[in-house]
Amino acid sequence: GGVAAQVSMKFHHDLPEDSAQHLAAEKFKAAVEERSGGAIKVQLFPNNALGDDVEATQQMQFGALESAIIPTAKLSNFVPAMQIVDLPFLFPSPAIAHEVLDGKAGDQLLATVEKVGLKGATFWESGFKQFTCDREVSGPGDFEGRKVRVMQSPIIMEQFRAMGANPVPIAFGETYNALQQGVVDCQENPLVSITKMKFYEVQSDVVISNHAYLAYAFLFSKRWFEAQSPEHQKLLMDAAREMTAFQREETARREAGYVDTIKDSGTRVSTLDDAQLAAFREATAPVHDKFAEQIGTELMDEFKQAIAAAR
Amino acid sequence: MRKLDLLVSRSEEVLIGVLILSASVILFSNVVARYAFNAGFAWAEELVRYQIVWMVFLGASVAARQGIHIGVDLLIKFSPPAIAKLIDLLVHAIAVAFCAALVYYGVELVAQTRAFGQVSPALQMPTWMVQLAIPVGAALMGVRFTQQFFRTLLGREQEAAHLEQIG
Amino acid sequence: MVTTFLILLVVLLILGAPIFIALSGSVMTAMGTGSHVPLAIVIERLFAGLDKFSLMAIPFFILTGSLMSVGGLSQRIVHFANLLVGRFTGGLSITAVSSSMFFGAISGSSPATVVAVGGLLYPAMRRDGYSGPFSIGVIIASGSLGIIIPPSIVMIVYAAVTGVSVGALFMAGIGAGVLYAACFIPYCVWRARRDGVKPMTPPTLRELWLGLKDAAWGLGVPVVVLGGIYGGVFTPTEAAAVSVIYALLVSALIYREKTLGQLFRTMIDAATTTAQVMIILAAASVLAWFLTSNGLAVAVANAVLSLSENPYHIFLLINVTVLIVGMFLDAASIMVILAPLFYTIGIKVGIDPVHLGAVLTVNGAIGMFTPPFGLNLFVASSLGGVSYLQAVRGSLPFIGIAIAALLLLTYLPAVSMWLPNAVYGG
Ligand code: NA
Ligand code: NA
Repeated sequence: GGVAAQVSMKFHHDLPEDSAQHLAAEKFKAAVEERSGGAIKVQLFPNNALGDDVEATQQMQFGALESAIIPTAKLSNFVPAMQIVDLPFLFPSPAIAHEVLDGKAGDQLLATVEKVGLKGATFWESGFKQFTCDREVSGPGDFEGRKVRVMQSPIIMEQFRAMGANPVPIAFGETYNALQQGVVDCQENPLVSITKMKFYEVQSDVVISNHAYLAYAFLFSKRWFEAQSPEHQKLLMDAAREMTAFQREETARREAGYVDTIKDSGTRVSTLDDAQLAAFREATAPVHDKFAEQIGTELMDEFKQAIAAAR
Repeated sequence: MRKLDLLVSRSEEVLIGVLILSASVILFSNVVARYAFNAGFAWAEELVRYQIVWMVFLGASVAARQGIHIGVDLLIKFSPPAIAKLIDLLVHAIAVAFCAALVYYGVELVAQTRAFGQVSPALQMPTWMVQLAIPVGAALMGVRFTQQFFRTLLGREQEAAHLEQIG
Repeated sequence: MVTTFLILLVVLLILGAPIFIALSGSVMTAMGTGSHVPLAIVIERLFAGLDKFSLMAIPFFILTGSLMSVGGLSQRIVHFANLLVGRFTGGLSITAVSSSMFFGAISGSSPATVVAVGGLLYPAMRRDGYSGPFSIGVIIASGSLGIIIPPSIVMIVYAAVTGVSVGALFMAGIGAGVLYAACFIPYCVWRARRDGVKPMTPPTLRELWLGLKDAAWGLGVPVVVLGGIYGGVFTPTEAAAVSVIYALLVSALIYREKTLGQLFRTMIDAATTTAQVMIILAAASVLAWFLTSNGLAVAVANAVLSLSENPYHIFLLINVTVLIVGMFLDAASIMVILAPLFYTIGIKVGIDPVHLGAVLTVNGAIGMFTPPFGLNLFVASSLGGVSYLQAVRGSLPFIGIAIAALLLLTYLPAVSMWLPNAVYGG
């Protein structure tokens, strides 16, 4: 009998099932399966089950994996332009980040992945990054000579070098122990990771700095995507983009609770005031210039204009 | 031919010895630099990973030459010589075919990674240079398995297995 | 597709194909004939399966063990262990157990321990009147301590695939290893009594001191490794590299029994050994991707959880599974293929992931000497005058004892967990 042509698509992400991203992915799955009348079946693979972000990106390139959300910093080794999102103090607020990434500038950025075998749909997020340290931090000088755990990303390493710190790339899973045992003194992450990975337990201070934004690019394997019918292509794109607002609201909703959890544990939570933020912004400003060429000056200008317009 | 064979195996051996030694020295120096001078090398971890990847695939060829890849060779041990020989031939033929497939798909992946221009985060080194270890290692291994296939076919002595080295 | 894969895997394993070929070749054929997944995925997985910094500890721990052994450490350790326990009934066999513990603290691998200890003690035990099967059995079984006592390759792999702290696992390995070894000792005493083997005359304090001094450089390895990890000086992988430099310096400058050329030869051998082990790990990650992407891992997890949510039952099920799989596969590959699955299940029913890692490691250690496939059994048959079947016969009683130790460890978490809890906070 006529078997309905069923396409099965795998979706990768690097977070646990209890995350804003996974919830949004479940909504995406439900939408795609319903709207395609069951012709497209979505399987979710959380927790790096099929490989880490860089490996998943490669798998999408040759078509062994159909879709994923990948942190922009991890994409920088495929498309240097993606690093723009990781620049320190690029976006003044979440609202502006969302507006710019959903607009023309964001579309232009998403288009850069096409030449490396990917198809970009939208940007999800883990929110803004904060510093955590084993002592109080009130200015960039407090990082002078400190060892700071970073993910393996040139721009993030440069951000800490600009403050005189010594960035040490350590795997995400080894970070807790490295902090606890003093292999490194400080680190940066969004509140969700600071809380879920319990980094606040082994640090004296959490500093609300909102110094950089952690975005996830929602991507499809270009090879696979282009093999789908135009109707299905539209359906997939629309479903991904429709979940973006929900994903971001969910991130914001959870962040409020995380601060309370950290405070209740006895770890100090301080918020940088405007003067302190200005000092950090000034100290890290050279990072923007240093990477401008790699990212592409045109794209940089486009983003800066869009941000200025959104203010 | 014999000379070339010897040259290749010596080079493989020296290379893997140098890779493991230099990798330890790099990591050791990184610890010293970070601990004593508060300045580690961001590229140390990455370079060591790539050295070991190359070491494993070249070492796999060395192991193939010595006939010490780990397997459950009980059936061969307890079979009559004629059947044991047949099984041995079959296994080596499968191994050669498998290595050929690794070379084919390995080259495909390397070419694609090269075309897309992926680089490593710290060294900014093209990723394909590391992935290349697989087709190269598989090609070398394939040659070893082919040699052993013909050695068995022609009834020549296999080189002694060094089981004590298995870890 | 899954059936094709299973049949191919079993056939290739029975034929005696190298395990890395059996694992990735069967996946490759099954996917090539039964799916549209581009086969470049096999290459990507072989590469990505190795390209993990935490796994880089493996070559270094293997090299440390070889350097120390070649450099003259094994004799010193066996000698020292014999000075400590040789005076008791069952002396030499208890020496085998305790020197395996000491050697295990230096080497990350189990067969290496069998070779280092067995090469010296097997002839000595036979001379003293111990029966052949018992002598080889005790060496094979205690050799498995090599992967329980830290450092441990198998624990490194577990940590790499689950994200659990290597440091905490190593701490758990100490309690687990001591209990495991302690379970062997009553049997050793009983056998020595039955075979009428006389203990040796007790050493003088001076002899004991000299023996300790002689072995101290080797016993410094675990101090460097665990001290460095816990003291925040370096990560576990760096610890392994530091221990290589340490072992190199001790062999070249202090023991001075081998030339630099011989030491370089040791590096080549260690690199080859690493390749033998790690190419299987790479292939196991091909299999793990196949099982995961086809939803088999989740299906099995759900099936297990539907049977029971009682951690005791789940733990029993896990143990039985690993014991059976361990008859055919080596401990490190089992970790790559099954640990992510068991980790997911364990978290759901409230099993501590460090405790689970310790139990899986001990179970994998038993697999090192369960027939038909057990590396320790093969390695032992390379020791003078022992056949594979004798090695199997000698190991059987120890398999029973080791399973009893495994059950104790499973259901008394405190044995393995008190140290990591004390050090890392519960
Ligand atoms: Na060990
Ligand atoms: Na076994």
